[in-house]
Amino acid sequence: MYREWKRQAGDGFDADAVAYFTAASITSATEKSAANTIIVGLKAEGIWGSMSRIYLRSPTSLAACLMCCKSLTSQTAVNSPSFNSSGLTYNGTTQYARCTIGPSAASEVTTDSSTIAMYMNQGDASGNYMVGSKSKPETDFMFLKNGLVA
Amino acid sequence: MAINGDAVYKFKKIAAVTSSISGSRYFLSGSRTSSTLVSLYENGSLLLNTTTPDSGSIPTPKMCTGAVCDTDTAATDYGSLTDKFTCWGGGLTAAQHLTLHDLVQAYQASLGRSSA
Repeated sequence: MYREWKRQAGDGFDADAVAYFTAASITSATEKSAANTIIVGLKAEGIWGSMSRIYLRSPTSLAACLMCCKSLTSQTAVNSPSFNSSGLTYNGTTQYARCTIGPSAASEVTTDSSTIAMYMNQGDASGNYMVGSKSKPETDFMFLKNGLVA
Repeated sequence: MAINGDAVYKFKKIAAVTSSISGSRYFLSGSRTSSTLVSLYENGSLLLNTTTPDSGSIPTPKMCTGAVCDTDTAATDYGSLTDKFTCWGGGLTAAQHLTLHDLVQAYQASLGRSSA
């Protein structure tokens, strides 16, 4: 009972997880437990510290879905990507979500050290740009694509 | 269902590109971890390494999801997909890519929205 009281009070969760729940107005016990577990796991494996932005794509609300659980900054949704409890869906023609910084401004990204990862629906069509930034003219890139490079 | 064939992770000027055909791709990730190594992973498993030196620069436009932005306010290349988790930052090892997959997969399963 004491453990449950502590958990309800927030003491049972990682401090960064609690800050994320507060910033994103997450109240679901199921989601809190799931988010706390992944945050604790990412920290234990040294992944949390290496990442600049981590979007758990909260099912709570569009605002929560757009929030980075590490920096507590929010992406800007451009042209209204669709939100539901599964995440954020882009239409392939006009919709995307923009982070507050680019790769060159992220201290974790260096000239020989970078990562992008995305979890999507199995069977999402190939040929899709998933995450990225590129300079103009097109000489320097950081992107992930499910499809052949142009 | 679409066939998920080619996939690319490109950093600066060098890309790791695969033509591996998989009907079960739901988690794609890539890293640069040294001056000559770019790696691409599918569902946490290594697809391939590219070992080419690169003298390019890190791009400056703000990072975007669902598209690749070429300025802080505009994108040119888009994707039609559902984004259930995204992260980006510094390089990860092969073991970390597998662990990341496992953690994200468990998170999605806990929320009842696993793609596996």
